Amino acid sequence: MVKHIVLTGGAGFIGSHVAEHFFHAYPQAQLTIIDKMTYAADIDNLRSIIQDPRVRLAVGDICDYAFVSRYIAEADLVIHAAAESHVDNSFGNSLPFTMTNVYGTHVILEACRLHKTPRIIHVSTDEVYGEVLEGANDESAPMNPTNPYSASKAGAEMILRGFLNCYRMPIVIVRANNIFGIRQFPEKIIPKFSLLLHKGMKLTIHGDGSNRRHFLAAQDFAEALQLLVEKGVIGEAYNIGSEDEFTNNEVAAMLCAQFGYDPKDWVTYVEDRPFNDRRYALHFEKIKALGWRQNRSITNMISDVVQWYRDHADRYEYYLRSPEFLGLKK
Amino acid sequence: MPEVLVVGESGFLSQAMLKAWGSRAQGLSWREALHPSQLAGAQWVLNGALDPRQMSELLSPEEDFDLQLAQKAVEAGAHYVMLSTRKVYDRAAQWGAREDDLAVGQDVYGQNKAQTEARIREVVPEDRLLIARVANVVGPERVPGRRSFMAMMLGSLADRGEISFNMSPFVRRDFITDRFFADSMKGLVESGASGLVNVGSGQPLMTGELAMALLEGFGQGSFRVTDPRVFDEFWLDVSRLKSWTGLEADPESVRELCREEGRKLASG
Repeated sequence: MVKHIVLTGGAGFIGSHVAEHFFHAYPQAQLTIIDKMTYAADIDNLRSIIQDPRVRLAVGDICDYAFVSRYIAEADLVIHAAAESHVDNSFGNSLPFTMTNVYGTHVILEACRLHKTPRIIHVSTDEVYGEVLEGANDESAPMNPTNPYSASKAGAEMILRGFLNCYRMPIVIVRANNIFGIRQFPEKIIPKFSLLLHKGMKLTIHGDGSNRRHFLAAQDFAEALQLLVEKGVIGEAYNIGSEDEFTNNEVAAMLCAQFGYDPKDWVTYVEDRPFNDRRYALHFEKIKALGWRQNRSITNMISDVVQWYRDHADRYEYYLRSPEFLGLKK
Repeated sequence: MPEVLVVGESGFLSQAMLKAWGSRAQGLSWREALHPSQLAGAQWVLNGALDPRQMSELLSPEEDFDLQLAQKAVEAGAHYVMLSTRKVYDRAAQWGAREDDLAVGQDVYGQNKAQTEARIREVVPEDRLLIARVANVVGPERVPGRRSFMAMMLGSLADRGEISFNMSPFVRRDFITDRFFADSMKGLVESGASGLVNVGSGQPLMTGELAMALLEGFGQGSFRVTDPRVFDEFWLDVSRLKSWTGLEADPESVRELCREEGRKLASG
């Protein structure tokens, strides 16, 4: 029985959904959320659970060994979801990505090794495989990162492999598609476009909008993690995928439709960034074989998700006023 | 004689005002201020002194230092500025309290301040009296004995590496920085304002946000809620402050102050 869970990055978007899920899935367990509380984290993301005595928020940097070791010493399950995750930011300054995603992961692993943590889930990304123009990658595909962010996540996985080989540590790796839902920081397409449209502002798409992404609900992702805690094979990687694949243009149209707008009037196009992968795609038969299913679809959820951003627009008001956010300044 | 006298010079709010005014202001202790010659020549007298008895018992006019000081200021021909509190507003009016809302005092401190406001109005001419009802001011409050929200967070973080809340972190209150407070008071005095004015941000922040910013600046520490009660949420309507001074608080400045206080605490 899981008694004490340590979740890194738990005050961010994905982490907060994982935190909520595990809080309810393991009602006897203590939950320690480690988060640096940088720009994308928010205590409000933990509103439904933070006031419970089973939950503790530890604010600090996963690169600080003494800090993380103190909490991991008590844990029988560590879910490592902390990461610098916004690809665009990694083009501007990639060093924090390497520090947090590679060195930070190394620190977590070292603490887990010394404290003999019985179960470790490492959250990676589909982007470690690189661009996939046709078909999809299964877990045996080679890593071929194409930007500083995905390179840092691939680097973290290499360190994991070393620890797996040397120490036989009980690690399971997950690589998921784009995750969507409420509470996502508005640097990502769905919250950003929802908030811009809510404010009556036009959308800007880099390139021609034909880039494709698969979208997985945060709740489906959290359910997959629980399944892997209970049934995942140690040392294995698992893709967590979605059948919902859309171009950026289709996502923009879907969001415009929520506001009754014609995308022709609301979408403008600007020159693409130098490296913008056209498509990522996963085969996820391996986790399906364990019993996981995608239970939610973006088309069914988009209305509720957009409504949430409309209802909580004041939370992002500070960013909505910034020229960087609006794309007016680099 | 400087044009502005700030009484209760060692206090947190007084220190902020003295810094904002620089050489144009002089600080005095409350004992010094009661000496007849001390106020002579001053154009403005601001009282930043706090009588700790105000927190626990209702004071009579004879015990009311603000009243005594206001009388001295009138005798000296100076304008008088009383620092009052948002706690003069009834609990029911705390969400968006306006200056013309009923001032009955929501606790002993608020009742004392409400009584003092009324007493002072009797002795100071209307055009020479400014009463500022102040929101929660945060600043460098790591001072022994200080029991404010910020001081307690700083103390527990320094002593135990932890911030523990006996209220919900989602309780929203109107916070301003000590600098914004001082700039507001300076702006009000320079505009020759008289009457009642709320001094706040008008934009409530979650108390948990301040704790998170403090922890972020400090570098590490844990946060726990021992009692998730929701109480004493408030924000002040600050339209009058904006119209009289043109000043408007930026909530981000409160978060940044907390980060900075956290960094200062970490560096010893």
